[in-house]
Amino acid sequence: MARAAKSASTARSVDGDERELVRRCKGGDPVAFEALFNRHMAMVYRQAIRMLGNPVEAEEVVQEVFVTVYKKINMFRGEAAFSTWLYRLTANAAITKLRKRKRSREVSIEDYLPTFEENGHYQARPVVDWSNDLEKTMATRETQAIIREALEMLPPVDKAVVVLSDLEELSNRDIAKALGLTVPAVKARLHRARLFLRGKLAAHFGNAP
Amino acid sequence: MAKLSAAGSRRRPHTLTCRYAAGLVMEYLNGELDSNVRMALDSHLGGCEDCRAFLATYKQTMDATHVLQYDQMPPGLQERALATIRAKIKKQPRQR
Repeated sequence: MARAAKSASTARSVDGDERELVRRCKGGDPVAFEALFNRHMAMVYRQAIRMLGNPVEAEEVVQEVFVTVYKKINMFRGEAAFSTWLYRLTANAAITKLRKRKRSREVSIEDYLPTFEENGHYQARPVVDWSNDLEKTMATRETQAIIREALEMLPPVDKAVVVLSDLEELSNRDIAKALGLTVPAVKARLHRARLFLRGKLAAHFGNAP
Repeated sequence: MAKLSAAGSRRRPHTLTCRYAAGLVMEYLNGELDSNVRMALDSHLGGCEDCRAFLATYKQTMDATHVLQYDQMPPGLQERALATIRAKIKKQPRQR
């Protein structure tokens, strides 16, 4: 109980401290700006590397995000957490880079989604349960490479949704705020992206999606 | 042949099919389903091996994505990035 109260008190103090840093940064205080940079740059880099998979581009995103923070801090009104704003700036910068990339392979997402008969049963039956195989191998380089490659094939916004949900563990509501989507749109994109990843893994284990 | 659409539409659960069940798994795993829909899905899962296999593989896919490993932040990045940012913001005005 005392521990929970202490933790809540610490969280309030961190929030208050952050609001103060943002206020000072808006006033042009370079020390406050650098304190915000030092506090959040690792999180920005982590999100960027997860979306882009390329350390050089991830570093560019870190620079772009914090230059934007400096230039536009007066547009941050504090209605959402400062970190939510950073997630948004990072996602936007990474999505822009992803859109500039030439797609090496055109893959139809639809080909990896489960299909159904008119009566609602799976078209490919029985559905094979390969979850134990995946559980045993998910830490291996080969399986991780398959998932990364599948993530690369997703449209940029869908990839951002998966990264923010399944890697960064943001709520659907926070993802919606960060990406400028509605919560139902986040859910729809997330579900479809997971079905695609599942379908790619099913193929890897020799099964139909 | 019908394709699975995004997260499930709100049909009445008594018509629950495998296709409909597949559209509910995300909200099921998040604990977001209404109790009557959840009971209907639990009942369907109890009698449908295909849907149990689908649910298990969907969940394991999420877990495997969650544990993806990425390279650590390169050494010196923080100082290097800050130096570049300082140089860039000197040249750029702030928006009011």
